[in-house]
Amino acid sequence: MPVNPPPAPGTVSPVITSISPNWGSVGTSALPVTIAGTGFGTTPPPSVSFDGTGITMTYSTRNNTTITGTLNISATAPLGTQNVTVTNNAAGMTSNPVGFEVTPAVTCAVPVNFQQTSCSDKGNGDLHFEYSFSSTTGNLGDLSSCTIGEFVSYPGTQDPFPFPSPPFPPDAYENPTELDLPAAPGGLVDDQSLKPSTTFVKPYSTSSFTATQYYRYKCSCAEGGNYVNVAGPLSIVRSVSQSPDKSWKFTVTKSGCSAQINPLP
Amino acid sequence: MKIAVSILCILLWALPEASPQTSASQDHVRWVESSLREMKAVKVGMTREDVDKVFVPEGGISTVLQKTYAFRKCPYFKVDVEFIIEPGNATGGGPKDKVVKISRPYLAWTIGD
Repeated sequence: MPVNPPPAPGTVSPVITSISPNWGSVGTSALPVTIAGTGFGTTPPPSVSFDGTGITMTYSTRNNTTITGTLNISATAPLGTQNVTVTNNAAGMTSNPVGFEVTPAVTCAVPVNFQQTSCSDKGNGDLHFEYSFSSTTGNLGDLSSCTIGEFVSYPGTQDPFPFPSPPFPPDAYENPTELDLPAAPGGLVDDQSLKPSTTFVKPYSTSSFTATQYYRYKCSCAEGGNYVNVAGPLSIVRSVSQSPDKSWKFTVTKSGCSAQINPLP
Repeated sequence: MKIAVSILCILLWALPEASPQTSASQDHVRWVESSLREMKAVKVGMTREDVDKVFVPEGGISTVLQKTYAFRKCPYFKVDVEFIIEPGNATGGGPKDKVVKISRPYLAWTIGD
């Protein structure tokens, strides 16, 4: 009988903190899945086990904190919960189990794995994000009954929300902003932009305002056709501040990314 | 909430009934007429770069297949545009993507998110 070598000194036991999605339907192929945690190890790469039958995983990435790949759930997989564990093959240690539920076959697909894929400063104070999402069926074409969108609210109840001006341009944004688009292949982009004007008003002074954003989907075949949040609350902070050299700058920040007009004219 | 530009035009047209139409308001009407012609000149079959000559992308969410634009001369005039991806471009979003649907112009506040 093989015996695992003792873990190296200082080795940390693998711990699963989340698996997304944590369910899948029988007969599903290529269902994207992400397992997050700590101490998974890297060399040799960690492995994922299900304690039941009928589920196989194909890996895309495996590192110390994240394992991604796709699941095939056979049509004969037993319904109910299977325990998922990650084995750190370097240390010979297995993680805590987390549940993955095998559900009956469904025809209603909903978006899953909504995640930011990039962000960039597009100039003129525009902050650009790109997001991807997949379908519970593994086929984005199954999301025809769904929209994906955003809900953004600004402080207070004024619609439109007036920028504090000066120092911001004397403009206003729709409050709240509610946008929905077909959940089509190709992902989603989101631009935090300054419109209609990028002309800030003197005298400049330190000022900021924060919007709160949620990304959400709505599928006529799920959750009674109501919205389901997939990300948020996210803070969109727009500020005017003074640099050490006494010049003034505009900054918009979200999810750790930012864009600037620096210096303001 | 969308408000048809035509409603604005009707209100402006009806203005003389309520009060004498000033030279300034006539100028406004002519400007809206001119703007409407410019916006309506963008048609199905044109390309994304054609759209960009008349409109600028609105803030907020969009996809490579569907985007809201604001009129360059007045950001409160909007259109929603749907595209098909140009052949050979796997990701889309290129200047040669073709317009397959464009909404009537409408009025709305700015989307900055």
